[in-house]
Amino acid sequence: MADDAVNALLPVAAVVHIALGVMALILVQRSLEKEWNERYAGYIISWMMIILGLKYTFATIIDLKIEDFTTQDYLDGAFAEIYYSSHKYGEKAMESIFLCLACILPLVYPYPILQKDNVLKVTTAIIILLGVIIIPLDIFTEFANRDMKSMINWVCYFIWLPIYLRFLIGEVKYDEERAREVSALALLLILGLKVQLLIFWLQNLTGLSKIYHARWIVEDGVFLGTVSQTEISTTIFTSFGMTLSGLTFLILFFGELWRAYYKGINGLTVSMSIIFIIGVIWFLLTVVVMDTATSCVETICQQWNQTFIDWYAFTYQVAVYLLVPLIFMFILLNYNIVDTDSKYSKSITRIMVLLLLLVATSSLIEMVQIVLPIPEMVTSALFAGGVVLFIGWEEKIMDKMITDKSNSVEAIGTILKIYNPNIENKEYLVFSIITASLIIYGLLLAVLFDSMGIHN
Amino acid sequence: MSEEKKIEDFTGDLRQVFDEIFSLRESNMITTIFITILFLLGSMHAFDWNKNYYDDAIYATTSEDWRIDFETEILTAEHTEVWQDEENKVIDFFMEDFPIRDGYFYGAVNITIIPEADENTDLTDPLVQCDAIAGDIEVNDLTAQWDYEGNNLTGQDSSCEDIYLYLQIYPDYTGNNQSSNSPNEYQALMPWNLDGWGEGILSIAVELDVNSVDQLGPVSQDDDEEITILVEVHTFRAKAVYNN
Repeated sequence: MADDAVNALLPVAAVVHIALGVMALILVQRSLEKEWNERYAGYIISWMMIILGLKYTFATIIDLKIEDFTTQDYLDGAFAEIYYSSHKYGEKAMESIFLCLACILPLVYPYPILQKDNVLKVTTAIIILLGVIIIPLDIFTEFANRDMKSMINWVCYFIWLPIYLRFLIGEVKYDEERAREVSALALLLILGLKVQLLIFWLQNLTGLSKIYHARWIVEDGVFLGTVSQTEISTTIFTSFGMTLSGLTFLILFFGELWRAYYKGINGLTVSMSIIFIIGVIWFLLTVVVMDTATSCVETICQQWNQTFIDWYAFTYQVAVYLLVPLIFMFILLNYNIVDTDSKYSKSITRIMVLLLLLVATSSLIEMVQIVLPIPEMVTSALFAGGVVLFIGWEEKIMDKMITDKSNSVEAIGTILKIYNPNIENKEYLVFSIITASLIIYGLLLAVLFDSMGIHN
Repeated sequence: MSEEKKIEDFTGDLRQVFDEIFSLRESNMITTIFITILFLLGSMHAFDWNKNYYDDAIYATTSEDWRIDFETEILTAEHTEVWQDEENKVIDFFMEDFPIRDGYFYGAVNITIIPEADENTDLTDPLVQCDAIAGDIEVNDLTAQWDYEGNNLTGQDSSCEDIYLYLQIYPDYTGNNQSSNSPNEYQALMPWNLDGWGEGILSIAVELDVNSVDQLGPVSQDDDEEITILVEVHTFRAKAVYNN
């Protein structure tokens, strides 16, 4: 029963991410009047969504294949067979491209670190360089340096966190009028990329998460028959990655509390408080399942408690599969990245909002139904109620989002100096072509490597 | 005017950009504290991971050579009864009547069927003729290794010799030391810690066919035999010894 909840959102996430990414890409292409970095961020986020969608598609295929595996199948190496197949290579290739794009987003948005005329050329070159090297290297090393690879994404902490602090303090202490638009955006961007890690803030900070990492090493090596993470990847990059996410959350959380003290509570304060509580619960649950977690290393791997699996599905998986697209769509629509003024754009935006809200609602209801024995009639009625509610309020939600738009780039211009580089339209096109080429490159390598049986 | 000039001078160089981001002292202070704690705490976690977790985890994935030694204890029960000629009796031994110590498991059962040990002649058996005795361990619900090739479930004798029967109860238990390739002691001992073996009733069927000397008259006819069934239940506790 609990196992049904795990990965239940994967196929939904695949479809939602691809659909939203494509629609966002259409909207961004029509948003010619926006600032260069808003347009560029729009392109990057759209492609990130599409790539995540492709990654989840591969993950869904793998999940379907391993769904009926018995313990004996795992021991017979059936999992390793799939792990070293084009599906896994494809999934990991998409992950690598996603990391490359996520690495350049903080360099240009909201306050661009690179403000020269060649910014698009430079960032596109970074993507090519990183992508071309990382994709095959990751496959060659049998994904044994996962956390080292993720390190390229740390740049978001080191850029967005100082930006968040700069504008938070500017707003609260120096009464900079539009500073909140920037600090809120920086916070949302960090959440968008890292919310699935921030929910583990307390166990990451205290180092309790290490028992999971140790367990995964044994599971990978013994039970799944794959390669465990390398010593350097786990020792340096896992440890620092954990600390980084835990500390970042603490600063963001106390920052929001401090702001709420002076300016009042808002949605972000509530969101951060929820993550705070989830983090504390995760810590306590880890203490509770300590014996199970350490069993792999000390004795033999024991199965997780059913409730624990459900909790994982309802926090980590909901965060990664539903919250991430919600946050990014909110950023796209609310922060003036895409043009929603024309009739055509409005229609697409409306489809995006409805799609996201309805899919999110129905998925959550489905997940609740998997875990709790609620009759289908009740959940169907709930869903129907949700549809009616959304259709009734959809226009209001849309209008509110469009009219109450924040414009962080404009806000930055009123506070900090910003240089406006000359970017030609075709440079965005080149970026898109390069990203699409990288996707093809990744898929091609996945198929070729599999056909050649490099890990047989 | 001077502010305008400053803006005009701003060319978007990296240094200028970072000057802008780090233009508030308080924010810079928090960022510095953040980075300092990050390095301190991160290094602590890295050290702790490497010292206390990583090696253990890798060790748990590496198979080692273990020798499995058995501490054994033999529990016995004896049943003596007189069989009439051509009588077939089934004697039941309840396994629960063999109380095993904590941590011990039933390993195997040795059964000895001992005919009457009387070498002296008497009136009923003046020639001391040996009777034919057949003994079987009856296959029943007793949880044991009934298909094990080394079992000896049936035996017979007519030369006054003991009959030996053997039934393996615990899988692969022979009483001899074993070896195991396992990552740790727990896994090495896992096959030797299974409950459930040796539950039920051990049934032994014994049939007697008396040989007597008819020519000496009816008084000399021997028509019964005292038979003793000796049951030795081997119990064991496994111990894993790491082979360097």
